[in-house]
Amino acid sequence: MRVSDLDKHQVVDLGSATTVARLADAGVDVTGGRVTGFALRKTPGNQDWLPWERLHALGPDAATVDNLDAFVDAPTDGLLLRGGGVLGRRVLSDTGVDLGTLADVGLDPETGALTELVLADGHILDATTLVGMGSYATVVRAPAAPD
Amino acid sequence: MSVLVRGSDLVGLPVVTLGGDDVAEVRDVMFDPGAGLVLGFTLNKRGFLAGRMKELLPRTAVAALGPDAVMVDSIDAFAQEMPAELTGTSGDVLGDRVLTDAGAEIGTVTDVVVDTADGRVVGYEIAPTEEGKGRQGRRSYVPLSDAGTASGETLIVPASALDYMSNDLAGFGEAVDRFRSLLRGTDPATGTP
Repeated sequence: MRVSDLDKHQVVDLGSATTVARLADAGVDVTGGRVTGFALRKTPGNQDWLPWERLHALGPDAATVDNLDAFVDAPTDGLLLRGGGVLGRRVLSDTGVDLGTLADVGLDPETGALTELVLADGHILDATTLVGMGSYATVVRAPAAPD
Repeated sequence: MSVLVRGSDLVGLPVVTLGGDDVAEVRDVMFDPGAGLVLGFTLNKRGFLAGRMKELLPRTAVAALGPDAVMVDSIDAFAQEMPAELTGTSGDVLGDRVLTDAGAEIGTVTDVVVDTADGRVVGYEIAPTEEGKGRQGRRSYVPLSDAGTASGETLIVPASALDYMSNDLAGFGEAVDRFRSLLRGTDPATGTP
């Protein structure tokens, strides 16, 4: 599953079987290599953050929660893939080579672990090569030089 | 893998932390022409109102020197002054005339060629002295031997270096390797004057 697949995802409350929000953005923990939660829009209240741990499930068509207690205040720190400008920014190897533009990020819908980094030219890098995501670039470990 | 770049190509490169933040950009390259080593970089701030930074970036604090960015672990890589082991004769060879040890002038230095793998200066870009060469205005690359000497006025290269001159940077890396192995192979037998 890729972050771009989540664009139109509704958040459905299993208790009331109603749509209670939509996913707006994904937060990432670079060191842990995982999605920490989702920024929400169209929430009933002011709490517009859904931590990964409070998801009931992340399915192909919707995210589900047990009840509205799943929503919390958005963390003040943390990095948003879209809001933080990570998507659309360049990807640099740790050897200082520009590899292209980050177009999408893959995640495991069961665990939230980042699985792959998708470049604009279609090239796919394993997410285990991820070193950092900053204001200038996403940095990945350079592939070993072919001998 | 070693990639060769001109010193002037490094100017303006962003200095990027492994966390992905651009924290400076290269203002100028400091190098020691005697030792043939890049010592480090002076820095500009990034951004629209980019001014000079007081801090320097010693080469030894660089995580990687790439064609698109200079990578550092963090801004802790910056130093107020050059560490003692790197304070060489930070000189300028640009504009120096290039003379072979046989006494022939072959041109003037227009840039240095740096191996990004280890920060060594492996050669010079020169504007050939025009007479008799028949290719005015073209830049050539001449390999630097370990024994090359520079004074700030004249750069001396072994006459044998001429056989390993190249007209493009792409083929120059191989020429440097061949020239160096030639020197290593012949030095003990013939010596240099």
